[in-house]
Amino acid sequence: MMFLLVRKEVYALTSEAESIRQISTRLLGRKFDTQTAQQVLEILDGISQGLARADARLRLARVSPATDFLAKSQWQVKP
Amino acid sequence: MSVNPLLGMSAAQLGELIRNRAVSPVEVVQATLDRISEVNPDLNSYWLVLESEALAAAQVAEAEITRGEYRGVLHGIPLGVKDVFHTRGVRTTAGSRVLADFVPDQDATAVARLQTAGAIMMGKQATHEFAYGVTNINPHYGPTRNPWDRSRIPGGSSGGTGAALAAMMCTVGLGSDTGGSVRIPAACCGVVGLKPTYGRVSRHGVVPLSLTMDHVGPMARTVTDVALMLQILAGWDPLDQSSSRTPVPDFSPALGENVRGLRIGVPVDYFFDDLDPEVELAVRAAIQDLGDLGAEIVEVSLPHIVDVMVAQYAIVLAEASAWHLPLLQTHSEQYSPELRSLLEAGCVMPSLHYIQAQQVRTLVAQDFYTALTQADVLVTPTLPVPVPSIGATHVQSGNRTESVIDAMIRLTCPMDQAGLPTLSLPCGFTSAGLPVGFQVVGRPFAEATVIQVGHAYESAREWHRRSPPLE
Repeated sequence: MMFLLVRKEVYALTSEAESIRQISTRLLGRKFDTQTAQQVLEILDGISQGLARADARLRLARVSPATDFLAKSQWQVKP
Repeated sequence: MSVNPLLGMSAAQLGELIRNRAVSPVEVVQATLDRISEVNPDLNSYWLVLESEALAAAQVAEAEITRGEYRGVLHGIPLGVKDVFHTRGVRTTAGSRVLADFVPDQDATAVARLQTAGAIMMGKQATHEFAYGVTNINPHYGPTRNPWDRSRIPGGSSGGTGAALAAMMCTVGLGSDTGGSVRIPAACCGVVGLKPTYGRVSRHGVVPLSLTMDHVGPMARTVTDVALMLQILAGWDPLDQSSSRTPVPDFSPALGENVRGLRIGVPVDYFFDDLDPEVELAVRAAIQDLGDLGAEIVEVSLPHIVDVMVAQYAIVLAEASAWHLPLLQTHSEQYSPELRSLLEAGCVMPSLHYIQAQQVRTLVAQDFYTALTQADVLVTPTLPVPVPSIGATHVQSGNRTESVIDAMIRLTCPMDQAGLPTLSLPCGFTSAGLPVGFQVVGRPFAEATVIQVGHAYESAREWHRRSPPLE
């Protein structure tokens, strides 16, 4: 739960265009112009909203991420 | 323009003629080069044609076969390679300006295996910029055109390979698939494409898009040919961390088996929602055909799949940006504005989104695994709509208006997330003469069953015998 709270705070920060511009400066070595920051925000908003709907439907907090799915036993599907 | 009959032959047919020395690889390669000269300027399928290199390789092949050193069915067969595969000494752009002058010093494992088997690389084929898209409208190298209707896209991102196969500019091709990029152009161009199980074919030496979902896959005009290619491509590669040690079976017995007694699962969720009526008609007819061939048709459910698209976008965004970050730091002006915006968004996307997307993916994969305990394979449409026009931004899918990218990957990306072997093959044409494809989805590493079903259907209906009207 603490992890989720922290991540939501981070998201609240990064959802601001100025925060995105600051991150871009640190990460990419240049600050996004206003138009770029707006485009980036639109892309992220679409994903954020879609995942929020998925979370509400699927209650994702209880689901293990699929990053290691090859190692899981269900990989060997039997009839 | 009369077409040399060698060009329309499958690798299996040509290979038999070459093995018997009824036809020389030099003759085949020269005919293919002539064909490329005739139709490629219009289609923009190849960006680089290796004329002298291909002819030299054909002469070597001819000499080897004359000496009795026949390497197998791909010996002397013209191969097209999507320009994301590293090719030693040959420029590999990935459809980008960033890599416009990149000349690798070694081959991708997949390329090396096919060449060791005797296939002759004819050149490097068009792709979407960094394979991040499905239209093959490339801002740096121009659009690729669909041989069935040159006002339409070939699909992507392996669109150059799909178009070249349909237009008989190569006999077999090599593509990659992260959201459908082998199967989408296969469906758009009326050819066959196989996305193998994740880990089945090495990705070493392939410019990546999304490392947990990238697959390398064979493309050809027949199911038999993709099976022959998979036989050579499949198997563990120590140079690829995702490569599987799962034993590779002999796929050839699957080409002779019927489908009697096999259970064909038809999803009641998602895959048949909002389809173009002509597409739905063709795919339903294919399912009926499989039933008539003796398979048992059963309904299966995939209840969590509704959120698969947003998961796809989030995973690709994050993983692509992770790989591109160093290039964005130094060459950002060489990216198209559209791709740069996507990659920059991926750089600042909260990690929570990536994790949530992978959680959705877990549920999608579990749905498939459950469905595949109730059926031996699943059958779905490859695309919900007929091939879109070049420049179209949206399409009408049944009652839904959606973006071209959404429509193109909606029915293909779930299998990339689940890592399952999936074949796309033709199942008819629309009234406008555009190809329609359907998918056969198998259990992990059960490519043989997928090939068995695809080959049985192809043998019964023979859609692959049609050629586009290029004359």
